[in-house]
Amino acid sequence: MATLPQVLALKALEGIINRTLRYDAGTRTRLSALHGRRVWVQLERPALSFLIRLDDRVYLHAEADGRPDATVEAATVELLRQAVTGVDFAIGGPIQVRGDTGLVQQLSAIARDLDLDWEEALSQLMGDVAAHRLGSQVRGALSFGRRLARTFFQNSGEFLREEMEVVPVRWEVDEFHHDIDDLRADTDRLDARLARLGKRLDALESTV
Amino acid sequence: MSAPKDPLTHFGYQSVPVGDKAHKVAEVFHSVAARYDLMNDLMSFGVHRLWKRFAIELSAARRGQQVLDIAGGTGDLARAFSRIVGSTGRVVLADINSSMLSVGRDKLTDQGLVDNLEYVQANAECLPFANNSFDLVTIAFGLRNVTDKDAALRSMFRVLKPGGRLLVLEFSKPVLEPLSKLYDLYSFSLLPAMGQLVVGDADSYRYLAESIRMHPDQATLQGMMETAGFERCDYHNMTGGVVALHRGFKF
Repeated sequence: MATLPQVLALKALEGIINRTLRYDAGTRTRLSALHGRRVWVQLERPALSFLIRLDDRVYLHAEADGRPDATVEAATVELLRQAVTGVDFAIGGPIQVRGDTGLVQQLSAIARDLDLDWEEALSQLMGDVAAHRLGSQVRGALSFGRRLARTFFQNSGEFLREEMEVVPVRWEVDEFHHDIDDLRADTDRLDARLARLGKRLDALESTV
Repeated sequence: MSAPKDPLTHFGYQSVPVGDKAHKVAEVFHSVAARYDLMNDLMSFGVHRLWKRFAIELSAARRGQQVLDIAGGTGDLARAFSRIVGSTGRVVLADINSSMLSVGRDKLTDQGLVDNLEYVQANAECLPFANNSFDLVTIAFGLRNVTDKDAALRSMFRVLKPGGRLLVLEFSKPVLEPLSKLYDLYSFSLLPAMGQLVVGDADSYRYLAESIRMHPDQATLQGMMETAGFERCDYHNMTGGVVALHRGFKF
């Protein structure tokens, strides 16, 4: 079942891949030949599965929509990384491929040629999801979610700004800061008023 | 001879005549519309953006689709869907409140999103669209404000195409007791105070906290969706159940 941390991890990885692709027209062209193809990837540890969908860009989805062209099963993320970066990864053994094996080999070749540190990129899937499984429920809820959010935004701030426009634009940020200033002024005034009231109360009490 | 008493419903923790609730809810949203996004960020520490991100992902929206975003207000989801469905698709942003709709339309237009967006002032209980019109219907943080939720769910079912899906993103019941206590403290003490300071309106944020408590829990809402005709219903809890995403399909 898809979870929020998984979706965020997938979107972070997706962002890294697409950002790299933006500066690699050659690879984009190779990928456009695979337009519309879908590969389902299943990992055991951590237990994570996702769909790679190739369209105007690369999409990583937490759920499948319809039957994929191929399925890749790997025991761990590390093995997946090896499959992606290995020169001739053997079909069978720790990596199982079903369906259109040619497609998977093409994708693997493309991934290899991408100027991307796959160990770094795939760690998106490893750390966050593993931490979620290990942490306590409450940690997994509030504080983890917030830590993940911070990491997510740090890693993909640019992606968010340019692709999803979730991050506010300049004028929104400025207005937000003005609102914060107003809030600060209000609380300062409140503080001053409370202090004044306190003094008045002391004065009253001393006359009793 | 006195008139028969109006049936009552809940407006937060108050009991109000059914006919009044919509008006009282309208007052709340006219009041908060201008600072709605700011308050969302403050109240949820920005996490509401992640909840919406999750909803967008699970919507499986695709290019060329017809999407209806109900109670879409200031346009967070509509913006994402507009980009996903592209020029061959269509996004209708519906909201019952004219102030929220105006803020949303201005925001999206200012961002240059015009081509595939439509704005409709509509009541979720009786949507003004033809049967089987949309691939996807979403309602984020809006269902708890609807007076007759069952009517709204039936209406959403009607306008969905066969094979289409409904997504309901809404506050729900936290699954853990300690989280629940913390959440109560936060909602009933801190939120109205923040509301007073930031938008000069504590009552609206008290209503917000109360309306969340009056909203059906995860399993109950799923049952209501099934009663309305939706199949393969499920829900995903987020942030310890503070928020839940419900899904259902029309077959």
